[in-house]
This record gives sequence, structure tokens and C-alpha cells, in this order.
Amino acid sequence: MILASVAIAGGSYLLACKVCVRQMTASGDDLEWLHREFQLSDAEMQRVRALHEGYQPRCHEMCARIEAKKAELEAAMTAGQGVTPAVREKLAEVAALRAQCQGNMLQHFYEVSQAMPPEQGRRYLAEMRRLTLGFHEQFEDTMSSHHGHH
Amino acid sequence: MSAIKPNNGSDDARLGELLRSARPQAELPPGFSNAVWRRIERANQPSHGRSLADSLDLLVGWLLRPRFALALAAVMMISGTIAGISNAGVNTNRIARDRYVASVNPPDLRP
Repeated sequence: MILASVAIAGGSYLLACKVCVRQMTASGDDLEWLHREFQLSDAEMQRVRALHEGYQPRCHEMCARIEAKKAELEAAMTAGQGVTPAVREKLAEVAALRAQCQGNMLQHFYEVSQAMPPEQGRRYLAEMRRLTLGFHEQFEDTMSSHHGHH
Repeated sequence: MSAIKPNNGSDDARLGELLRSARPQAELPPGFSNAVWRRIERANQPSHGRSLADSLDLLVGWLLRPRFALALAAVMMISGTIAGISNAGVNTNRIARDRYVASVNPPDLRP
């Protein structure tokens, strides 16, 4: 009796959750979260969307360059034994491209935050920094605590 | 007709014995009649005199009636659905947020 009740409640919960999520995410718009989370007006959304669409090609270009550089690094590692000067050079180039990519990304976040009302912009910036850079900081903290570096 | 014998008392007794032996009487378990009287007393007791176990027995018995079982199933279904819809909002927000982040955070920069 109890098991049947729990099964009915659980089944209804899962089904309702799944159906609602599917319906609400059906739009497929990448910027839906911005619109909902920061209650942006249509005009603000238009500005943000323009920035987003301008940023995407640059982002894809950087990704392609990084992928190409990683392929060169892979080739250098395969060609030589150990960490040769060529490998170090390629590592540095990959790192430089990643840093440039990260800089572009942060710049984009700043531009988008300025297209929003001030309070929403601040919140957006804090959240994006937490979601992108924050992961790296956590990873670095974990690594430093494991190795005893402070 | 001449074969039918007149009714004899000893034949009745023998018939009775035969019938009883054909249907053996099962022995009642020990304390059976006491248990029956206790159940009768419990059923006649006022509600404040019942123990927790008796009250639970009564509640379960009541709930197991078809109309109440159906009502309970309906209540559980509605509660589960409402909880699912509320939680869907949270899940949807997280999915939408992750989709946006994935669109601006290149794979190479992700941990």
C-alpha cells in the first residue's frame, strides 16, 4: 500500500518534471536564460543578441586556431622523445592562444554586462566569472592543496 | 417397496456415527475462543481505549476500501505532479544556463 503510493507519487513527479522541462527548453534559443534570469526587455535582448552573434564567429575562429596548434603539438610530441624544445615551443603557443581566447571571452562578458541595466549587468558578470573562471580556480586550489603549495 | 425396512433407532445412531466420521471436526487452536472474545471486546471499545496498533489497523483497513484507496492514489498523483512541475522550473533554468555558457565558453577553456 505504502510502496504503491510512493511509486505513484514518484512516477507522477518524474513524468511531470520531464514533460515540463522538454516543453520549456523546446525553444532552442541560446540566450533564453539571459532573458529569463535577468528579466531583460526586448530592446536589451536585441543588443545582447547582436553582441552574441558578433562574438560567435570570433570564438569559432579561435577554437579552430587552438585545435590546429594542438595538432602541431601532438605531431611534435610524436616526432621527438620526451619534452623537446619543439614541444615546449608548441606548448607555449597553445597556452598563448588559450589566454587570448579567455581574454576575448571576458571582454565579451563585459560588453554584454554593459548592455544590461547596471544591477543585472553586475550579477551577470559575477555569475559568468564564477561559471567559467571559477572552475579553473577550484581546480587550481584542489591541485595546490594536494601538493601542499600555499 | 418390500425392501424398505421400518425405521430403527440403532440405524439412526449408526448413520449419525458414519456422517460424523466422514466430516472430521478440526480442533480449534489453543486460546481460540479467548482470542475471539478479545476481538469482540476491542471492536466494542470506545476509540480512546484503543492502542496505537489497533488504531493503525483500523486506519489501514479503512484506507484499503476501494474508494479511499483510489482517493489516496489520486492525491499522491496530484502531489507528485505538482512537485514535478515546481522542480521542472529549477531544472529548466539550469539547462538553459548551461546552454548559454556552452555557447560562449569554448570547449578548450573548460576544465
